Amino acid sequence: MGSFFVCKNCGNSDARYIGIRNGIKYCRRCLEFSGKKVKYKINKPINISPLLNYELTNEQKEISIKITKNFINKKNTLIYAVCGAGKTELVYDVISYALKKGLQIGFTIPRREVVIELAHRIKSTFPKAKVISVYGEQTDILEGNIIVLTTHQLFRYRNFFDLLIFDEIDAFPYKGNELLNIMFEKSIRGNYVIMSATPSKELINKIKKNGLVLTLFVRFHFQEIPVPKIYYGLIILKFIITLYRTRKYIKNHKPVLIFAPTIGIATNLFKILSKFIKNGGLVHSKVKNNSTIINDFKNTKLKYLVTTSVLERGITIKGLQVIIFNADHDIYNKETLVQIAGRVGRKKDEPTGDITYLITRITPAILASINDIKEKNEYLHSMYEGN
Amino acid sequence: MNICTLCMKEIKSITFATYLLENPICNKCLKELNPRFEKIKINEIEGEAIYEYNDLIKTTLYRFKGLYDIVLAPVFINRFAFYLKLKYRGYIILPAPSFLESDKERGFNHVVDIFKILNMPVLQAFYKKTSYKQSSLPSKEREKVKDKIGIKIDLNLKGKKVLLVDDLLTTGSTIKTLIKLIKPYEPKSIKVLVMAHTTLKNN
Repeated sequence: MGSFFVCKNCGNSDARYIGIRNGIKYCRRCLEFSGKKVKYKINKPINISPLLNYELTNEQKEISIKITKNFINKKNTLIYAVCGAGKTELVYDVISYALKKGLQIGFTIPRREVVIELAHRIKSTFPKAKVISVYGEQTDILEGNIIVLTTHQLFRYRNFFDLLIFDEIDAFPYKGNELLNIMFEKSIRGNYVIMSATPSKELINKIKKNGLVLTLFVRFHFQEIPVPKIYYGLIILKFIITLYRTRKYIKNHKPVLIFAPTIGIATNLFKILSKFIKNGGLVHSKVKNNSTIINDFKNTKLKYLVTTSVLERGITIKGLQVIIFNADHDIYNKETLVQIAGRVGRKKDEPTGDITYLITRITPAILASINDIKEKNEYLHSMYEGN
Repeated sequence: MNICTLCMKEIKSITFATYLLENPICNKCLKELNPRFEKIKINEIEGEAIYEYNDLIKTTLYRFKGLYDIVLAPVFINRFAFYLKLKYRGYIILPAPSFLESDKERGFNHVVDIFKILNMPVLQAFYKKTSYKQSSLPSKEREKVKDKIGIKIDLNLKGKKVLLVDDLLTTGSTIKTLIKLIKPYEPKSIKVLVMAHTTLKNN
């Protein structure tokens, strides 16, 4: 008794998470978040504006300025924008403001693959700044002008970021992880900008109280977001449709992504599909050379990919077509379906594409996702009518 | 409500074991650990491996050995402790050696602690002459392990039953060396028990 213990790292005092090592208590809950930590210091100011080889749309410019103003006023921002709206470009303005002041800038995303890609993108936009990426396998360099990191690495930066940009807050593994949420809140010194295409109502209400919610429901090329088409059928019919459609798309030189709900289904589907159509690939979390397969797909070496929801976010490919096999599966909620549908038509030269749901029953998530996309499209029409 | 020692989520489906064991794990984690009790044979000596090496064992061992999470020590075998105690009644546990310095830094010896829950007599007969990490060596180098392990001289094992234990078995060179070292002491029987069997490929 009287041995009350509170973890300094995560604030845990639940006895079930506490272990004793050689007579000394330690917290088991945040044990994996132990390692080198970084102390706050002010960076050298860098005076650069973002280097872009394309022009931002008026909407994007307007929102960028609003974000910067909001940041100067020391308030938090939530950017609620549709998939393919060009969210990343929106924060370039506020990043260059923070660079000029020498503030500590962080850009965090739950997924490792996206961190690597994003760091390249930001580096090419701010070539003079020192852009570093921090994730599980890369933790040697921890300091720079712009730190791109996974949410799992936030624990290294306690009370550190003057500006923290958080993309895809509703993605796994951050979503529903209480501990990562604590680490996120503890790493902020100044203010944050959250970006999402599918924010929860609680999040919107939370930011509204003490910050600003900005919406961008139009894609930067001002085209409608393709609405998914539903096909009913039993397993064999679903497979025949998949086969037929994939063949058709490949004939028209369009890359195809086929989503399957589980690793097992994805593996089996690929096994059968690859007997009919060559040049395919299989990607899921247990495949080791994931990134090379995805790269082959981007370079059109591979014509189609069978995948699980690992590729639901952060992938942009010209002319992509999407088929969701068993879209009525329980793992597909509204957010996931909206994200997957948002993969299509993201490039200016090819703003359209097909999204096919193959189902045997209709679920609330399917209806909700279609309604969500239609709503955003209506917004686009109303904007034109307003003009 | 109890929490699973491995995934730290609340255990929803309560079984007999979750009541009886001190550090219970949930059914999902148990299924993922996948105990198989695979029979192995090394230099004519019989033995068994409880698990086949997999991702969960890898991460758990890392937490235990690398992050010093000592609570994890019994979770690997506490479910089978009763069975193992019966099977190896009368045996003396001889754990595979680990370097003294790293034990000091850690504050515990991981092999001893994994098998501590069996409540069997433990004799730390072997020691490492130099610090090396078996897992960091290529398979050819692993053969040289016999020069790096020593045995305490004043052992009285004649007519006794010994159980050689280790956490991981890969090429078997460590266990082979232990067998070679222990044979001159003429124990009545030698058996091998390892926590997980790995192949170099998935290491």
